[in-house]
Amino acid sequence: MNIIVLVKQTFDTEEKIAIQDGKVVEEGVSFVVNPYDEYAIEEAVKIKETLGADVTVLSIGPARVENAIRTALAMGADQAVLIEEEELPGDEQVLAKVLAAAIRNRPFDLILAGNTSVDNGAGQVALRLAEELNIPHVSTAVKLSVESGKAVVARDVEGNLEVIEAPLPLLVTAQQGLNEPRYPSLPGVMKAKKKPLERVKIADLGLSPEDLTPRVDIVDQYLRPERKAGKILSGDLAAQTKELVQLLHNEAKVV
Amino acid sequence: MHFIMFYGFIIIRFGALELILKGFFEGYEWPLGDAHKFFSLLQEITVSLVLLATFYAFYRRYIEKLPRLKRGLKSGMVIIFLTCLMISTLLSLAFEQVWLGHEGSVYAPVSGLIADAFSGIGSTAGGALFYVFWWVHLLTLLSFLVYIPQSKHSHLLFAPVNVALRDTRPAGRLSPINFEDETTEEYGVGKIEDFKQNQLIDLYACVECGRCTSMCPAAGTGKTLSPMNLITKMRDHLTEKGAAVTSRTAWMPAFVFKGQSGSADPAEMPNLIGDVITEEELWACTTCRNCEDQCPVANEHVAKIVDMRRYLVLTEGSMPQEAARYFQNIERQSNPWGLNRKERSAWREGREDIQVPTVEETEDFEYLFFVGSMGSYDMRSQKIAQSFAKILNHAGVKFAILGNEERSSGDTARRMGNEFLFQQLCQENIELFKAYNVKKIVTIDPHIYNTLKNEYPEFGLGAEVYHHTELIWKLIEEGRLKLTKPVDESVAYHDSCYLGRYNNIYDIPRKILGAVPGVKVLEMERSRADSMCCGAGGGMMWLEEKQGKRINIARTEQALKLFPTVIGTNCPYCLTMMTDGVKAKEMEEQVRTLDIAEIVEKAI
Amino acid sequence: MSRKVLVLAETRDGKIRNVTYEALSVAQTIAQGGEIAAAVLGGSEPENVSLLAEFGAQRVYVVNDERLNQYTPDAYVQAFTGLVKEAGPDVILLGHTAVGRDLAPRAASRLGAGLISDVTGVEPAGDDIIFTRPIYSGKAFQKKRIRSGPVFATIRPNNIPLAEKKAGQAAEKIAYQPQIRDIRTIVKEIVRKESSGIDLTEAKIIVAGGRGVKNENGFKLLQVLADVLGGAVGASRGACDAGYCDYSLQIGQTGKVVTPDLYIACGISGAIQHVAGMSNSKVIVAINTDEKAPIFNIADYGIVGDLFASCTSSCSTASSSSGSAPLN
Repeated sequence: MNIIVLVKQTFDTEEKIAIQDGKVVEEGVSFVVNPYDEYAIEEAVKIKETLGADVTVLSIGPARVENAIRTALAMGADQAVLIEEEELPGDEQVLAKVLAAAIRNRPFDLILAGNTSVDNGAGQVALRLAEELNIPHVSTAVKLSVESGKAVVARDVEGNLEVIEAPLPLLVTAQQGLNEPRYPSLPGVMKAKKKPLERVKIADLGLSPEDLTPRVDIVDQYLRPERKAGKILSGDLAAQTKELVQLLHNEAKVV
Repeated sequence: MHFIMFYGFIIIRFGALELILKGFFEGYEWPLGDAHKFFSLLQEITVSLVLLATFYAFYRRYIEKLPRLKRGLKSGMVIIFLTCLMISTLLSLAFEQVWLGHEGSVYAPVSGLIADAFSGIGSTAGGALFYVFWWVHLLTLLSFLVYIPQSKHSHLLFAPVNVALRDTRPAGRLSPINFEDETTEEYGVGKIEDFKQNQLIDLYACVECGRCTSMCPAAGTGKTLSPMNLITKMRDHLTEKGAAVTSRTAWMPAFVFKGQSGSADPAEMPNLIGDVITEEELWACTTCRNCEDQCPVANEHVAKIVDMRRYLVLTEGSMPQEAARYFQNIERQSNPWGLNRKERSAWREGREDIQVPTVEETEDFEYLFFVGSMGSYDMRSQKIAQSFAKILNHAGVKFAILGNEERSSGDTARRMGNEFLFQQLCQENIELFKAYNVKKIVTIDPHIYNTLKNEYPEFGLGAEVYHHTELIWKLIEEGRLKLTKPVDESVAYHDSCYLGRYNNIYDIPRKILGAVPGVKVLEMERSRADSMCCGAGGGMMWLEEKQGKRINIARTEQALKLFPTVIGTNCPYCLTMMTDGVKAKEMEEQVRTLDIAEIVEKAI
Repeated sequence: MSRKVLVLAETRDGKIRNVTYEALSVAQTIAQGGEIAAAVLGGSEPENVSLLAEFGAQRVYVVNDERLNQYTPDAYVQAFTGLVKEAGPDVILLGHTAVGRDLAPRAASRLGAGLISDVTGVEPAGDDIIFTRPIYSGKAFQKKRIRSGPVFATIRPNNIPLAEKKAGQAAEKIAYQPQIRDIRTIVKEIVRKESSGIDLTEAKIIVAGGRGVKNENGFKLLQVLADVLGGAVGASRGACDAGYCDYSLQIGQTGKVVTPDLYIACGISGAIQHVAGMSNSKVIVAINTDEKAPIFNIADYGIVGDLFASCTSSCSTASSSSGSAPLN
């Protein structure tokens, strides 16, 4: 069985964001594997351990992305492909076409990805990729089992659980709760250093200028305005709650 | 009792040998000439004392029923053996006198008395009875000899070796792993034979006295972990595995121990981690070293636990989820919570009356104040850092902090088994110290103190390391710190494990408290080397306690028994644990928890 | 510039979801004279057409097909993109809901269109429409526009103010027959979780509990308060880890990101990881026994006290005084 895992390298969720000239500052930032992608990597490795599979990690970005890829390899993936570009392509559609071009000629039964990235948070790329490859998808999976040519996926849909059956090849995006990503063992980390990493450029993928033209532009980026200080209520508890309810009704107008 | 046993046996050996010879050579005596009567006297007194000691042992084990002592047949065997030996010795000597017609002598008081009682039975009968008891003595002695190496009594052989070979290094100092060979597949100890030889001697030196388990905070609050069982289980496993690997039974004579003789396939042997020792036990240890401190034969339980943790963490990447998150957070942001590392020095702004320069802001400093993750980020512990900074300001001590460059010291990572992360942090911190020309370091956290002082030098640290109480006391002694304002509190003082058992600092904090006017120090029942762990060490601060009672609640209860107004601590973990304990007992109004620095600050 | 706008009217149990009205409100600001249409896929109540009209829909496409009664990507993508090709709108709007998040990206790729997801603000600017959306869990924002082709966007629930409802409006009802070929994924089973039925990401009011709630029963109390206020119950990671509630309630960096009008944090200290999931709430109330808890730094109103007493007291005060109807 062949599995491809899409991995994005993002800021650690703890990082403070700084913006200069409309661009997010990357200097001094700690980078991690997108937490949702960790679930995808873990699931791929688990399938490899139980059913046997060849797991390929695919990512796109500047050279620093290699760290994220090596983490995925340390967790148990077999090899990786990095589409190495200084800047990510302009919009999600272009990104999906690029990834599709990179994947199209490789064998795959299952493509796993996180359901969103913690930086951009749009959750589009993986699903667009499924459309480009003309394969079905199931998103926000919290449980996945694969058996002879098909998959059974439980997905988290606004509190409910939907159980879906789908044929392979299939794209599945991971939601929190799918599994507990493993801490890479030290031998795993050492071996990861030697696992194959293929570097590719977008120019090599045979895409047309039309494919590479983004449809969406970023006009501006700015930080969230600081919240102003709040009011601590006083008095005995009954008085406080009474005041609170009144404030919420009259001043804040939320109840 | 043990004193008598230990020395008594050495003395009795000679008498026993003589007695054996008496059976072959009628009336044999060591050729000591006139001095022989003193020899006899010494023997008789010793034998009698040992007999009394045996009765006392019986009393302690079966009548007083000490909880740490087992009451099974195996434990009782020895008492039976000893009693037999001693009584048969005395009776043999007595009947020898009857047989050979020796007169009673003041140099053979006990046997003489017995001989007198039986003097009427005649020489032949005396001889016969002599041989009866001679045989009893001989058989008991010989079977005891066979039994010793196969039971906990092997400690007779192994304990002195263990004590002689003990580590003279600072207590609890862990051995590093060499990571240079990148092809290594296994780290730590996953199989019993991977332990170092002196670690394995521990297993046979154990006398199953149970002192370790009786003081263990995990065992004492209902966790599966019991230090004694850890040792004995590993001992039995090693014996079985040895028998399997060598295809020879460990037990002699084989026919007696048929049920136990394992000619099992080594490949089918149970796994050390998982089968013999469960992961639950391994993760319950707080590394407090109460077990090692109590052990009469110098066993080291903690290092074995850490070695097995190393196997789990480094070789298998297997650990409780909270531990994995802990490591990840340290790797990414240099602190356990994964909070932004650029906030590390923000605690300075919490108070306007303290001056805390970073090493970037000043080159003129005598001490580097290594604040630690707790003091930097934990809201309650930040106050300790602030109080200490105030004290240093007040006493005119020039100090600086590393600021946002400070990384976790790696102590907890090391104790949780992540030796790789520890060494990484250690190297990075030492580089920082060198870069800023640091000569003296002071810290408010005993865990950091312990690792910087005792473990970092191996990796190249050349600076002097102090705990904040050491520095405070020095300032008091030098008159740079005058404690004038009264602090009228009864302080139940809690000795932390890492300042106490690991570094033997018990008096200095007490002297400090003694110097604060108005403070009354209340000693807990378990104090100094016997102090009970607060439950946070060994990474437990970050792991959930899943069984039994919470350790910190048990310790808080002990403190509250003294009706203090304050519980005094010297460690931010202890402070957090005791504060939580007081909250859980709903006594926050009556009892506050304060660090020594905070108490001292009130007095200046 | 007049634009033809098509809004996917999402329903739940036959009733129109609030986010649809929010999308129609957006349509009203950007249509500028162009036609506003709504599309209802799958069965729904007949009165929905007039309800949609009250919020500005001039035409309602009723796309009825048995295969649309249960959402599947294939059926909805084929039906919706088919309708788009026929109706030819300039702007397509969906709610950023489970359906919207699943449908929009595939539909956009099929249409060769750019898509701006999870939008919290919309302003027409000359020939363009500028969409505002949060990035980095709301620590920053970006403004985006579609350069060419249809403008496709999903709207985050609870962020767009509703336009005034115009009673008595009517809309043209058009039946559209979708071309659905094959559906590759089969829905075998739906397990409904027992909850108040209000989705956390859409709730206007959220009562959330942290470790301070201490046990599962504490959460039952929060549910009572949430019911009285017409809101949903959420939780911090600490509470989920401790087993007081299910992980589906978790709000935070690694949980759900919510933007309610009112967020009541009970026994939550305010660690940054949790705050990142709710900091865009319009009004934040914090109840905590620790006056130094960081949550008070971002709260608009704070009570330093026992959350159980506060909640119980709030329940009685709230239910006896305003008695406002629960919002959906």
